[in-house]
Amino acid sequence: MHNQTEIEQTLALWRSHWKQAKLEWNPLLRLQEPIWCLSHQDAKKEGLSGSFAMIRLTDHRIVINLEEIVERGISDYAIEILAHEIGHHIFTPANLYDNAILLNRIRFALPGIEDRAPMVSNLYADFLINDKLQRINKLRMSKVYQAINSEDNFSEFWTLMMRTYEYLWRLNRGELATNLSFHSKKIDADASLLASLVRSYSKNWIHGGGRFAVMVYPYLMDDKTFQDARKKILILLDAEDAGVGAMDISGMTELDLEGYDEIIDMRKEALGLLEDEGDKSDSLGSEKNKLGGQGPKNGYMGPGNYIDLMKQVNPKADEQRLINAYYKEIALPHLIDFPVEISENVSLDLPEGLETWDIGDPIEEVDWLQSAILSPALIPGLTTQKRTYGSDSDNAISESPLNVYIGIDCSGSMMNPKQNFSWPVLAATVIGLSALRAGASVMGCLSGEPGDYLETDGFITDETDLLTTLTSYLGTGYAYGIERLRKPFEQESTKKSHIVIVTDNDIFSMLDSDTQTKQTHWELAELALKNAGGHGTMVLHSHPDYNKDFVIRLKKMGWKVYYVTNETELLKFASEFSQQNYAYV
Amino acid sequence: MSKYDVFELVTHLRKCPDIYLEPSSLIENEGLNSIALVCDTYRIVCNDFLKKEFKKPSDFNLAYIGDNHWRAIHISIWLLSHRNFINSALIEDKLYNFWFEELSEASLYVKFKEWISDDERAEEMVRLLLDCCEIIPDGENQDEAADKLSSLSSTDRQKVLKQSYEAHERIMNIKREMAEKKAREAANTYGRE
Repeated sequence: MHNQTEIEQTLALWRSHWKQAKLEWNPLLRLQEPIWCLSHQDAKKEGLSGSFAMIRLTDHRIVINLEEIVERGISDYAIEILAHEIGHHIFTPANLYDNAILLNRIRFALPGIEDRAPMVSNLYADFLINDKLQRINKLRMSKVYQAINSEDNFSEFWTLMMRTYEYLWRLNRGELATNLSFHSKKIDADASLLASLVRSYSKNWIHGGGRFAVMVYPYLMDDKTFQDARKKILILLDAEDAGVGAMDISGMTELDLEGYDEIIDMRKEALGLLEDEGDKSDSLGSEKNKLGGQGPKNGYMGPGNYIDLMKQVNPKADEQRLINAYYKEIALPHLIDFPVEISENVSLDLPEGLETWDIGDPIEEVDWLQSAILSPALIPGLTTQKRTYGSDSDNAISESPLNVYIGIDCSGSMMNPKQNFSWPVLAATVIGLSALRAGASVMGCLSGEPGDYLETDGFITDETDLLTTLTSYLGTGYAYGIERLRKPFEQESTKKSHIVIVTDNDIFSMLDSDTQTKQTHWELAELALKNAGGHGTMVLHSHPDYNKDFVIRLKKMGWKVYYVTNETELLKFASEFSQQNYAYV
Repeated sequence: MSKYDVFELVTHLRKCPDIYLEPSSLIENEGLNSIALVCDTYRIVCNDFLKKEFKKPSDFNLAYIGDNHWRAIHISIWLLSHRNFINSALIEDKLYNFWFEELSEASLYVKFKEWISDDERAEEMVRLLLDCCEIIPDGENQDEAADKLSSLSSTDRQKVLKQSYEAHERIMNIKREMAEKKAREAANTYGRE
């Protein structure tokens, strides 16, 4: 524990430099003063551990651990450190979206070791900020590193970082990379390339992240080396968790093709070994999906990848919330438009009651008789009355959307929507959200039976509950359980509903299975459709000529059968269904 | 002004007029007379304008010098026009090695424009010239100068990059093969089920 007076003196000194630090970037910059932590405990409470400073993009704050600063002997570099932290806020990564984009691009370049992306992203941003502050603003960034560096700090990776700064700032060998035992020709060559990368991409930094990550890949690929290197540079990681607590960041599900094309190995580039565009095979083994991605038009990243990325942006993010956001974002372009209310002029000739006439109301609206009955003294706005009228129109057609029941086969043959893109879940999301948008209620049910099922609490209008049900996974049994129709449709409901069941040929085995009651599944399916009152559609992932007799039997009951031979057709079905049933409202 | 200050020489080099970037007349008819430029530089360096015999490649070997190399020589001739090199007879017999051996190798990896546009490459040319001429830059000792040249050397860097790239490729190939093997085994597991 350092002398409290020394810490308080440091606080006063650093506070006095805050304005100057902001001026290093922009005289008009408005940023709250940092959260000054006088002890390690205070810093920990703010989420700062391991380093002496950090930024939070969620509330645009900087947190400074003054005790750590005093311990490290870097109290004299207030402007340098504060300006550096401000740089993270206004230069790179600057905001949550750009932070997520950069992380995604860096992840592309670190196949198999994507968990290291936040650290790499932090170090890349540090290079860009420090180079600007040292060369353009003439701040003493190199001195800060000299003060922080100690002999046992060094690893091969850290030597690479320090040698890169030496190249960038034309320093002599060993001025920053003080432990000469780690120096090698290989590090020199890589540092020289990294230095030119930092210079070249200082204005378009988001495009250099991939190249940077490829360069440092060999230094981080071994787990033990990485852990060792990480421990030593933890002190400098001030933006690794910048997105903690961030809400959903939209626009991240789409595949970043531009970012993928920027995953270039600069060593290869320098050796003149880059292939033609048409024959791009990644030397790092990052496998680009030949179809270009997953989901509609193969234009989206996989759900597993999305969750991993977003958990790196915000380590506290809830997985279920992320998967809901993933399918919702992909479904959005396929939803019905928001319904427009069309109001008609109605006649006002049915007296309905009285209310106070106020001074702002038209004088002709005063009901003198009723006002006199209320009080012989007429006091405007107090005893004056006016009559209210209602419509006498009874011929207007009111169209209200039918509810929808969405049953999804979630048996062993279905893929986990958290790990692999699921077309049935996307289709259900499109129908469910379209129905909610039109004002209907939705009941979702996942069923993999015999085994398990998961359903919403009846017909609901809560989007989160619905998506949470639809994006869950069971992986039990062999088909959708017809028995699930009993609860909502055993009795005729007051509000009519559509029924949509997404399943495959195994549903016929389920329909034919022994119920050990008098009522067969076939009868239950017929009863449910009758009681629902709307359309019943069985979406079958099957060829039209399979199980013809069963299909005819279903059709005779009134069920519509929609065949999909390819899962992508599910989206077409969902869009058409939503347009037909909910776009008119 | 101090003599052989690297920063000053780099600044001079980066001001190289466009005319020096033209191709050689040995490559294109309209180009610069490279031989005349080389001979004039010899004369300026040794301060003997009547001298007629200079060390240069044979006509046969001249034909093998590529366009990129010639233009690098032109740029270096501009560098040698700096007053530090005028009347420095001691370096006269070192220039052949610089132009036709060291610069020849470096030109394999550096495009001629980079000698001017890229800070590092400009410094490399300056340091390469000083090294060939056995001149120690101002404010440095022999070891520092050698180390700085070595950390900038495109030729060295290329060799190291090639080695490290090949080593990295070998590791990645092994990783890929292991991943494929694992995937095949996983596929077989499902097959058995």
